Amino acid sequence: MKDWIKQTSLALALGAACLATAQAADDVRTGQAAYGDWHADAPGVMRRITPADVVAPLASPSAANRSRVVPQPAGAQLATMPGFTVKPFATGRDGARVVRIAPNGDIFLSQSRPEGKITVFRPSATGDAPEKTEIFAANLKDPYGIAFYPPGPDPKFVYVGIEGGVVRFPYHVGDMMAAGPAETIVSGIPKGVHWTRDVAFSPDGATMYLAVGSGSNVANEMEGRPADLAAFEKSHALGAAWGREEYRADVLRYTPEGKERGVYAAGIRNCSGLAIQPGTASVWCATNERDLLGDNTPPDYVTSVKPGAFYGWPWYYIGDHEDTRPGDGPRPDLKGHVTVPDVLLQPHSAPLGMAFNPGGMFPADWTGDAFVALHGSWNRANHTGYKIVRLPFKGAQPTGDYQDFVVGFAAGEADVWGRPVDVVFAKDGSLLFTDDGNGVVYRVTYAK
Amino acid sequence: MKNIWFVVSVLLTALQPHAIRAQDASLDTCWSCHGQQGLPTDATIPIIRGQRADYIEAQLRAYRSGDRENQIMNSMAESLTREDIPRQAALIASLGWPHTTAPQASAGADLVAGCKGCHGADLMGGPSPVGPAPRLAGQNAAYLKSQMVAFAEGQRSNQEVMQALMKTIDADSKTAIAAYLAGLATTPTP
Repeated sequence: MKDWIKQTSLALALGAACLATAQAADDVRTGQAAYGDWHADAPGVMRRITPADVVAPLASPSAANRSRVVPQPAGAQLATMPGFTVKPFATGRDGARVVRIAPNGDIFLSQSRPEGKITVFRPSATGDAPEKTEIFAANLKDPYGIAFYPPGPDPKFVYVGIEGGVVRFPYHVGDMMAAGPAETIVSGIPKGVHWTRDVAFSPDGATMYLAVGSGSNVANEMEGRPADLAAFEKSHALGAAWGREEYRADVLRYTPEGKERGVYAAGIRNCSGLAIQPGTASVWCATNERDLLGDNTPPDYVTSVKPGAFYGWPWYYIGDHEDTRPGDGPRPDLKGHVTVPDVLLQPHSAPLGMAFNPGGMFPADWTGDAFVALHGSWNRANHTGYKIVRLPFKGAQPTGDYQDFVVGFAAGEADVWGRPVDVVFAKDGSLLFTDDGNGVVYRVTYAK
Repeated sequence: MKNIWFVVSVLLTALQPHAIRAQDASLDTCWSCHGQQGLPTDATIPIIRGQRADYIEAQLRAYRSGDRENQIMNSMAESLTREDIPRQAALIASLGWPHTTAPQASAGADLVAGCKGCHGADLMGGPSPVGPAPRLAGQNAAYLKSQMVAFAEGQRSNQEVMQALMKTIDADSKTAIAAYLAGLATTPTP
């Protein structure tokens, strides 16, 4: 009898699982149906946008619809998928931007503007609130990316991306206040327009990556075209921009001491979030594409970044889609040499931070998936973004789909009560994400 | 033969990428944030209608070059041509600053004495020795406060005198100054 029950329930469970899979496959919104605004968001909704779906420029007018951040309206709640719970972990954290985890589980938060500081939370035993909070470092200009070096259980430094470059602080695991003053590691990074500077290390500790966004929307003002482009590209990278955009719209690489600068990859308009994929050591970027081409052009993207690859900015987007706006002339020579990003997202979503799920709390088959914070649109008639999405992976490869995971920050057509910036997995496997609209760090937990 | 050339020329035209033209330079784009009647619904956004043309022009140039930073305005200013900027500035300036006779906020008069050297005795702006100074009387308080903070903290770095000055003023005074300026009656503009 017992066996019969077991077998029947197993069969039922298998059937349900198959049904769920089939349903999920059918439910992926593709082609033009994949595009849309916050009205179409719901936990679990899956989308897939491919290069073939890229909409012609100005198929719709370029809109300006800046969101107004309001306090959480009475009754407004975030929505997430069954089994998950989302709650504030810390509030009153103005300018909450990048969030990273120390080897002992301490939570490092950059409060960028105008605070200019790094805050550290030590989570309580249950993980649902800070037990202790300290200021790790203050009086920084636009602190953003945070990285521990060397990688592994015993880092000796905390690196912080700031205006103009990278600084580092001496660190021992458990420190909640910097053990010494900031030491400048990289200086001379140009300021202006895209100001976030994310930083990450290769797992072997040999390479420091620094993401520097473009100094403009689409380089209308770029001038000073190198007379010998081949020589310029040899010393920089395929598709590297010049003049005021030199060493911008790039992922740069250095030694951990800030020496031997090189362009790791070019043409990435604004890689706001750098991440290293566990197991493969590959570099990933969450990237904001260009403005003023209409509601659904062009897709933002999340991609593995291949060394020496060119991702299009400013002359091309999503492969060989040409943009004629850059100053200083076209680059027909680059056509056919533009690397297509891995996962395309709804245009103007504004993906900022990303993280890979190391496992430990979320469903086992979500281990290795990427999660991305979408800060939300301004250059679109109706708002889009303002949510956390999941990018499913099969092994080390993304499926190309993405799924609404936490939604609900929109409060009508004009107002939002949160703007997600970064995501990170805490030591207990829960997901933390930041909101710089109302200065909140949220925590998402899972229980079967 | 003629027909073949016609076909070839059509094909050649079709093969050329469609030029992406600059955004239509009508003011509707501005009003989508800065208010249809020149009065933004969001007080963190400045009133621009009737602002001094020289100041608007200087700011659009700063946004275009990246010297002043704001994601939306950087893209917007970049999409204007160099010739568009003075034309747009003149057009916006010509609309007239909102005339208000609002009762003044009580505190703050003494705090703004130092502003008048550049921004004018009536705080309606002026051509100051360090560049065009904007109208402040009647401007949105939340915007004024945000700019004072941005000058002090360095996020707005296109005016050295304001950067130095704002570093010397504490947060409470900034709030009081912003409230006082926003509540000032304005002088009618032509």
